[in-house]
Amino acid sequence: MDASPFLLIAAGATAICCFCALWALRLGPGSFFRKPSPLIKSPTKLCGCSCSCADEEVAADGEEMAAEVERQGAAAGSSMMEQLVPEITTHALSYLDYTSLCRLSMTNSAMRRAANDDGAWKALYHKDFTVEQDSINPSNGWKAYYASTKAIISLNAEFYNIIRERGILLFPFHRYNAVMDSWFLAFNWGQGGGQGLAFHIRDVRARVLSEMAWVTMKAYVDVDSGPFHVTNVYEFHNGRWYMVHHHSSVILMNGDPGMLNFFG
Amino acid sequence: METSTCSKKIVQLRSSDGQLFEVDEEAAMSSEILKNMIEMGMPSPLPLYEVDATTLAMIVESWNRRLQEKRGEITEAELERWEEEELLKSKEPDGDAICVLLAANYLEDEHLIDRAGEAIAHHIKDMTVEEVRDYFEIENDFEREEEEKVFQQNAWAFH
Repeated sequence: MDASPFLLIAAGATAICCFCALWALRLGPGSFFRKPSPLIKSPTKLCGCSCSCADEEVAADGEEMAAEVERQGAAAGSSMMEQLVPEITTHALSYLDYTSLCRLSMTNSAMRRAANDDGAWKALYHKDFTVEQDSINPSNGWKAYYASTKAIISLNAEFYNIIRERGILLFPFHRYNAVMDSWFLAFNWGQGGGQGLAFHIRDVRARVLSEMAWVTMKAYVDVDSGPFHVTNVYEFHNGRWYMVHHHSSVILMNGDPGMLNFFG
Repeated sequence: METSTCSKKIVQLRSSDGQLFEVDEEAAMSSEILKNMIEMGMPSPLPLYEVDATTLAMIVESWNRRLQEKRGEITEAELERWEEEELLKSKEPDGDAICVLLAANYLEDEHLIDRAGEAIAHHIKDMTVEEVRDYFEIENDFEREEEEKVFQQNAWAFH
């Protein structure tokens, strides 16, 4: 076959697009989208945390919260930490990663107020994900937003992990042989060999709304070809996230539009 | 005021439990609170109502070492190693790092607040919830039902 590698990769991209669209229709057991955490189960709320955050009045105003906690601490009698709690600022909490912050919030009620501080989770979001969404105001607070962003990004990464490790043979879509054939052709896989694709994804950005999310990223297939711009869109149904749209386009490397237009 | 390497301006500090410490003035300037007191000309000994002698001893030593590093007598790496291994190592309940953090916060010593904060974060990183409670000496005041709810709400973080 004389096709240029570029063409093969573009063909592969189309195959991936078709494949993902088909994949989105698949429901039922054996689907390997992650088991939803209890947090994402409810179809009406983004996470269980949002209920409690609202109920427990996660204070946007740190001072108000600190004063409240100080009253609590004084009443309860003071261990070192309870002395510390009024002093805990977003700055001090910023040393903790998300796991530690959650763990801290599980120790007692005073710690829960401190460790659920909206400002702390906003700072953590900026540190771990991006500062590009500085102007948004998540309706369920920043901790919930952090949790749902993490869930979507993990789901997205897992999709690529599966492709990378197990290749196409995991998906027994017998009716869609044409798609499978073009996939095999594009990536030069023999029958019976499910060798994975070395996808690497970078610059992952996620935007999560209550029942929809999208993730953009750059995907690198191999050393020789340039990266793809990729957008995946997810919808939240019946307590689970599903990928409903996938788009990838080649980033112009040499400014030659001729090859790109082959697949539109 | 000229600062020569032979600067010997000493300042006296008094801990909350009445013990006196003598410190290089330059070293004491690591604390914003003390810097203000010194610049305002407050009389010695400067009282530190919220720092006990044990903690103050550790903090004074850390200031001296920072001064040594500033003067090139020890390397930055050596300073960091000392801070990690001597100053902030204890993972025992109510350990050094917490005492230092509280004192550094009171004294407004940014560098030490950072170091202590990092050390604490590092200590609790792999602890269970129960171990974190012990470390900070805090009582679990959740009702059983509430505790289950809290655990469920945070489960996402532990996959």
